[in-house]
Amino acid sequence: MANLHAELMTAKAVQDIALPILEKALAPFGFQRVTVNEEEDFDGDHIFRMTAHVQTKVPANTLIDALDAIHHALRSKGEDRFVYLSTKRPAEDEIDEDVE
Amino acid sequence: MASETMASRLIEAADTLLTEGRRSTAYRRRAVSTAYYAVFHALAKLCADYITRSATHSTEEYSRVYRSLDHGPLKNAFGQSPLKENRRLSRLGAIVVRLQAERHKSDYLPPAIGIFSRDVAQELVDLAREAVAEVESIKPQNKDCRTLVTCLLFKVRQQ
Repeated sequence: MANLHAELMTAKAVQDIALPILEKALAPFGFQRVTVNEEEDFDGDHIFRMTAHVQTKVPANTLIDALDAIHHALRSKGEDRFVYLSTKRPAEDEIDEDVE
Repeated sequence: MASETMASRLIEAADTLLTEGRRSTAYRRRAVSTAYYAVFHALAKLCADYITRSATHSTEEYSRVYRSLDHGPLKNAFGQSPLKENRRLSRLGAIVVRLQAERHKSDYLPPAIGIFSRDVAQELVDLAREAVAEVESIKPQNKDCRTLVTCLLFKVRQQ
């Protein structure tokens, strides 16, 4: 079923649907752009990993509202794969002490 | 300690891991995993409270229902009818499924620097916090509770 869905909607098509939703929902947080990649999850199901590039931290409930709106829009077009939505802010200086 | 439930204490533990291990991928991995388990325990409690009519937690019946919730069927349940058509429960499902996938990465991938950035790890813990609050707000007398518990604990047989 996942392969059939892959033929139905591409990552680009998903991005086109998500973009206006994110532009509106994340405008107060300096929304810039969104990227979407199709991936397989841990047991082989196809999902869309979506990253919204923003300037400031987005509250969790705002992110959940946006994700819900995206899922709702996709399902109305017959696309019911899960979307994993994250935000990405300008790179912070990440120092990692774990070295292996 | 102010928190009353296992789930909320696990969220506190995830917060502590992020705070104490700001520069450690290992701590962030444990925080993400703990955040998922917070939601999992919230769902297990919901199921056990509903099925046993809030029996004492130490009873065999309560433990039996609590332990009946499996990780595997969670994603399938949230991806199928009727949960995916229920706006409230599909919102919850989207978080649960995401956290479950990140938990797998967290628990099983080989050591790698930057597997979760601080921002991403914090975002996942925040999502888990919202999910726990949502699960704990579902009242037993609400139809959504019956729908969710039934779908999470019992598989659909075709015939």
